[in-house]
Amino acid sequence: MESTKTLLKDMTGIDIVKMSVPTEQVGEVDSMGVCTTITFAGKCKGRFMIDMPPELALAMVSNMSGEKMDSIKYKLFLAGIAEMNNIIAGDANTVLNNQYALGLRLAPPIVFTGKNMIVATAKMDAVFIEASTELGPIKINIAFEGGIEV
Amino acid sequence: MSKRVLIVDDSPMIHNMLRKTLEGNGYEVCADASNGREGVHLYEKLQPDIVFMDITMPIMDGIEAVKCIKDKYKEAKIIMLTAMGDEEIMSQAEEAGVDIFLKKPFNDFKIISAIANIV
Repeated sequence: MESTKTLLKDMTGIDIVKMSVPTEQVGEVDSMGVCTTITFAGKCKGRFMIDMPPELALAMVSNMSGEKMDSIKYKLFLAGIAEMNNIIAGDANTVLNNQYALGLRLAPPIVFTGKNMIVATAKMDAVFIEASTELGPIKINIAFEGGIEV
Repeated sequence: MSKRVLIVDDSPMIHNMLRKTLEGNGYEVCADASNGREGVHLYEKLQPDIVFMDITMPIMDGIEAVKCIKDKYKEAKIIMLTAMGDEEIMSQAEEAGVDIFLKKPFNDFKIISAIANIV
């Protein structure tokens, strides 16, 4: 998670100031408004999900692109959030592949935006990490088919 | 005359960010492609000096696209710019003929230094 923290800072200039320990995700995820998910597969399968409120997501993409983003419906904003997840998940998969030779490859990321969204992934055990930034909370949720030991 | 660059990546955000970096440093972006097949086609048509190529893309991935370009144009200068950087994928990229491998995220210095190393 330290590398995720560093990557977020490098890409968006936003610091994670507090981070929880990994905790088992029980039931569905209540989205804060902007959710991006990316699946990966190789010797095992899973998905990486990042969820945050629109204000934080807009600030992150604005900082990353150098362009002011003021709508979560803007095409470049959606592409920016997807790319951010792609880079973070790519980095995590690189570490796993180098350490355990899992041959993991990423699928293209998906972005959802909206109020009162519920995200459910059947048949996958997940853990989440809640983090705080100066602009709002961010939740990272990782699931592997077959489960993860917390 | 400024060097001409082709960007092959499925993310409009990467097109946008790379274009700013390249044009801000005196390079001309001659085209953007959003998948490997389109990248190969545009390479043949435009013969750019440098190509920035992603790996994970729909229709044709970056490794396959590099093979297609290098098979016909050995002198092509290709910089792979991707989120994945494990040993296996780096070795596949090297075998395909990639000149420089860069891992995202990137900044101006990383991009301009890579170009300086191959042209």
